[in-house]
Amino acid sequence: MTSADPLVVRYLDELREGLHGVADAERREMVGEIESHIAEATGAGKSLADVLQALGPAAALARAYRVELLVNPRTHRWNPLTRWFALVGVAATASVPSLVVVPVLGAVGVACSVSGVAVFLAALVSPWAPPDWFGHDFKPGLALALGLPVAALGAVSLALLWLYVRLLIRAARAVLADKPAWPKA
Amino acid sequence: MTDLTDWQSQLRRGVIELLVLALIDREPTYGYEIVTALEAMPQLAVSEGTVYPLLRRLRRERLLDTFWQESAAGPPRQYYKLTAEGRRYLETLRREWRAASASVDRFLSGGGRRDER
Repeated sequence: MTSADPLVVRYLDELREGLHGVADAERREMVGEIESHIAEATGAGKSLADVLQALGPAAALARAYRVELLVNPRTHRWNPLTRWFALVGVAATASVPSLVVVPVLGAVGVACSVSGVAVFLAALVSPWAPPDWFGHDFKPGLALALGLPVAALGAVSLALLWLYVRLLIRAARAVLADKPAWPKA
Repeated sequence: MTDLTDWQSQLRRGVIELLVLALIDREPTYGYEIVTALEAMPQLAVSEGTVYPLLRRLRRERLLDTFWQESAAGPPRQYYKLTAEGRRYLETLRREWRAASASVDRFLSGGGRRDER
């Protein structure tokens, strides 16, 4: 029987060794397929020497397997239904913190930006404004001092909100992207 | 005379994926049968060292599925068949091949000149 031939055994052993690092089950399949090829070819009347020569050196064949798998890695592709469920999962996970983060940052951002700028401008124009525009309690000095910091706080809140939204978009893209699967090292 | 071996080898490498998928599309088949079918056409013959790794990669990409069957010749045979995704991919390759080969033929028969645009 050909597969008991020492040449075949040595060839398959070398092939197995050259595929070191490939998952065991897959390596067994690869070696089994080549063993089957050798048996088929010799059964069809070809000499063992010719068959092994046509296969090429075992190390070269192993290298060809590794190159083919490494250069063209398997890509995990979402099917449309799974992709939809993944998107729903991302949205559901992000919804809980978003319920707090988005309203807080949004409200603080808009309110502080608008009011800070308004107060600052009011303080600037107050010396020239008609006396009944501002109440007696209005202190231009205080408004001038606080207006810009409050506006800055609003701007920072809006910037943080923008960063949070970008983070969510990136997270969704990372989850939903097609991923290459490399052979184990 | 210029050696055409390299060019022929590159040409075969460019179409081997299409040929292997088209062969398997006809009916489920195994590695040795694929190699033998390609050997029967000298212009398209590629080595076993190319076919088997290619089959492995196509299977990993879920374009092919496999099943084992006992063989009288010796060890069990691993048969390959196209998946639905493999069939779609093969149709794409076929379209691309028809378009590319038609363009090449047109170009070689004098078409595609600047003054024709």
